[in-house]
This record gives sequence, structure tokens and C-alpha cells, in this order.
Amino acid sequence: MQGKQYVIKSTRLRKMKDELRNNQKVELYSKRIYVFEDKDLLSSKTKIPGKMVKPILPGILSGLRLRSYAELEYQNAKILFEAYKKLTPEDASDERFWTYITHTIFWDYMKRRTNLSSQPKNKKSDYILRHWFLDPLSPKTIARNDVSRLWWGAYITYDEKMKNPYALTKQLFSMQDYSRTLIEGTQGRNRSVLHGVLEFVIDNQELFKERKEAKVRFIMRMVNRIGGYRLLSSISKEEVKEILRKKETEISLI
Amino acid sequence: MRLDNFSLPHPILRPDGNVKGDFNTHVRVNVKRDEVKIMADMIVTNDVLNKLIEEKKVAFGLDISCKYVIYREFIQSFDKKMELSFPASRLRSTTQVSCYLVAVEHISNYKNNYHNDIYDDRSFKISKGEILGYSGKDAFEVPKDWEEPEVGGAFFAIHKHSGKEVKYELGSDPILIKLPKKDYEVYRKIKKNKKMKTVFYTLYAYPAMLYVLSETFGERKDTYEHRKWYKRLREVLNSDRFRQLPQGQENAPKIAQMIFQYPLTRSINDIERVVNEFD
Repeated sequence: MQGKQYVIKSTRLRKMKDELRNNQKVELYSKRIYVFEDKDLLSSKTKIPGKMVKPILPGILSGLRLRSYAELEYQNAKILFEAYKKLTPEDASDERFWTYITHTIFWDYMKRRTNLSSQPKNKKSDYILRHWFLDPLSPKTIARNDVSRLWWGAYITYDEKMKNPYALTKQLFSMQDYSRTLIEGTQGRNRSVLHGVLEFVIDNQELFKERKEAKVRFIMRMVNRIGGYRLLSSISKEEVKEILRKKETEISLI
Repeated sequence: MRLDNFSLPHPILRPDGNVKGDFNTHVRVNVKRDEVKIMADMIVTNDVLNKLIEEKKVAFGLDISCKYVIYREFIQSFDKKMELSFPASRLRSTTQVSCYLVAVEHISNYKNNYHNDIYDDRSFKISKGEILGYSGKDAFEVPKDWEEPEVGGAFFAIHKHSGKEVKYELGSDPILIKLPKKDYEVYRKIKKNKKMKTVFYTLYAYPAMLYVLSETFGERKDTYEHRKWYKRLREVLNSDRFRQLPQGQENAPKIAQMIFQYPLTRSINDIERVVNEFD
């Protein structure tokens, strides 16, 4: 799809969600495509033209074996962010935009990436609302929507000053805990804290070789605790890393 | 960010805190279609901290946080007047502003004057970034007009804030009436009482509407022209009931009372009824 960028009209979006809440139209999510009529769509006011975006689907593609969902999400985060790099935060927090993307460009991706078929019948609509929509808009729903998470994850970690500007993006998608604590949490909203934590983990590969999940959860709890009396958003990324460096012994004991 | 005493390793200058003195911030926000301006005036009455600010060891700061766009930034200044400007596209919906005094370098021997004498001989090692003062937080809305405004919906919304006065924020949709925290708790407890409904209109909605009308008829009306509430109010003012009335600031009290069906008279009647029940 190239040319105009579309979003779903608010009235249509409301109807889609109301139907799902009443357990209706769930069967549409097993169809080959999701059909919108012209009257359901609005030309986006963003200055971003519609993009030809081809996500990598779960599985094997061109000999590149994707070892895990972490790698899949990282690669797709780069693809999506590169296509929509000029999206403003205002536009990227528009549920109409992401719902359009999950129901069109990323339709096949969503069907293969999510586990809808194995959900109990009475839980399917809730599952769809969590993964295909942003209802209601919040850091939690941004992190749980399988497509907005990709763009936002890249947006908050992209650093053009680094040799690989997506190095922190790769780290973010390496563990589910990061989404919960960094995208959803208060401390992670600040770039110096977010980048400081991710860089610290990257710089200390030996330290995090074992029990990485437990250690990352520990440092996030510690960051939250320190954030109770020290305004971490007022210090630099290097100073955040220095705070964590002083706690290396404690971290190693986890 | 929630600030509670348990997290703090030493007392900080704050309302009802242990450090003698005051720290107050007056925040004004101007939300336009393309730009958000935040203006803050900060007053510190504490000699120790004022000296540290002069020495540029402690700074004033605004911590701006908007969860809907995963954004948080701290902007500091040694000047007690701050004026910040953001593109409106960087923010969305409820945005919080918290006001702090923060150490900008390590301070090895920090001592202040405390209400509680257990701190009298104590000094503290302060790290860069540590909070030394907090004057509260406020929130404002950066609304997004996605499509044509919908008909219906609330004109006002009642929120709480950490200050002492009732505030009216016209830079949002709906208009925010912000009550001091304690008043808000009382309001929530008794708002369902039908006997007091018009009293609430008189206490909050009527003064808010007076302010709204004076702004609508005043020189700053173009600031609000893109607001949903403004468009709805204009529809009301253009209706048969109001079209014939002179629409200027001097007529705002009459128009506001007509909009709410004469709430002052209805309130005094309701109060009389309640008083009679006790006689």
C-alpha cells in the first residue's frame, strides 16, 4: 500500500470494539483479510504517506531462521520504525492508526504471531481487544498491542549516536520484562534512565549471562526505589549507569 | 511520581514537611493547537536552600510526564521564573507537571532548619539528583481534535489538585474545575445527594461558567476557538433563547444563570428545605 495513510474513523472503531465486547464478529479474525469499506476510513492528518511495509512473518524466511520471538520482534520493530520514522508521538498514540495497521498491513503477522485459536471461546474477544486494539490508551495497552509495541519500543530506544542505532532496541526486545517495566513504568519514560539501564546490561554481558531475567527485575526494582528520593530524570545516562555499577556485587549475588 | 515520606532519606522542604520554610509554585499552562507553553513562578522561603540556589548547587525544576506518549523530562533552572515551550505533537491528553528543588551536584554536608529537633545536629550527604524540595503537582490536558466534535458529553469535569484554591482550566476539553484535595474528597462523598445538586452548580459550575463567558466575550477568545466546549457554547449562545441578548462581559452573570436555570435561587430554596428538616 502506497500513497495515502488511512486511519479508522472513530465511529467505526467504537462499533468494532462494542461488537467484540458483546462477543460478536470474532470469526472475522480467522479470515484471510479484514474488510473495510471506504466510509470506515479517514485520510490521516499526519504528513506521513502510506507505506509499503512488509513485516517478517513468524517462521522461516529466505533461509534466515528466526530463533525466537525476541528476534522476530526486533527485526519487525526496525522495519516498522524505519517506515514510520517521522511519526510524532501524538500520531503514534492514535488508536485509530494502530488498529488500522493491525487489521491491514500487519494482518497476517497478527494472525501468526498471536495465539487466538488456542484461546477459550469466551476469552477470544478480550484477547483480540488486548492485542489488536489500544483500549483504553495507556502505556500498558501500547505495550500489549503486538504492533504498537514494536514502533514504540524502537522509538524510545533508537539512538543515532550509536554505531548500531538499534542496539538498545535489540536489548529491549530480548526480554518481555523490559516491556512491562520500561514501557509501562514511570521511570522508563525518561530516556536517560531507559538508555542507562539497557546500556548497562549490554556493557556487562558476563554479569547477566546467567539468571538475566531475575537480575533485570532486581535492577528495575532498585531503580524504582532510588527514584523515590532521587529524580533520575535530572541525571544523565552515564550517571544512571554509574549508580548501577556501584551495585554490581549485589546484582551478581542474585 | 508519587512522593512519600518513607522513600526519603532526609526531610525535604514541602507543605506539612519537617523543614522550616515554604516552597510554592504557581504554574500556568497555555495549550494551543500547535504549541504548549508552561510558565512557572517559584518561591522559596528557606535561607539554606536559597543560598544553595545562588551557589548553583541546587536548582528549581519541572518534571513533565505524559504516560500516553511515554514521555518524561526534567527541565531545571536557577531562575525562579521558568517558561517552557513544547510542540503540541509531543504530548497528548493528561500531562503532569511536578515542581522540585533538586541537587545538581553532590553536597557533602547538608544541614537545614527543622521543625523536629531530632534532626538538629544531623547533616546529610546529598547526591546529585536528590530531591530537596517539592511543592506539588498539577495536570493539564493536551486534547486532540481527531474529527468533528461530537455533540453531547460533559462541558465540565471535576478533578483534584494539590493547591488551596479552586482552579478553572479552559485549555482542555472538557473544561477542568480543579478542587483542593480535601474539597474533592468531600465533593465525591456528597455529590450523589439529590437535595444538594443545585448547590454544587452554584458552588462550582456557575462561577466556572462566569469565567468561561468572560473569556468567550473577551480579547483572548481566539485562544479557545478550536475547543469543543467553545463550539458548543457558541451553539448555545446562537440559539433562540440567547440570540437576542447583548453578548458581552457585562451580561455574563445573567447568561450564566440562564444556562443553569437560575441556580442561585434554586440553591437558596434547597438550603431552606434542608434547614427546615432540622427545625
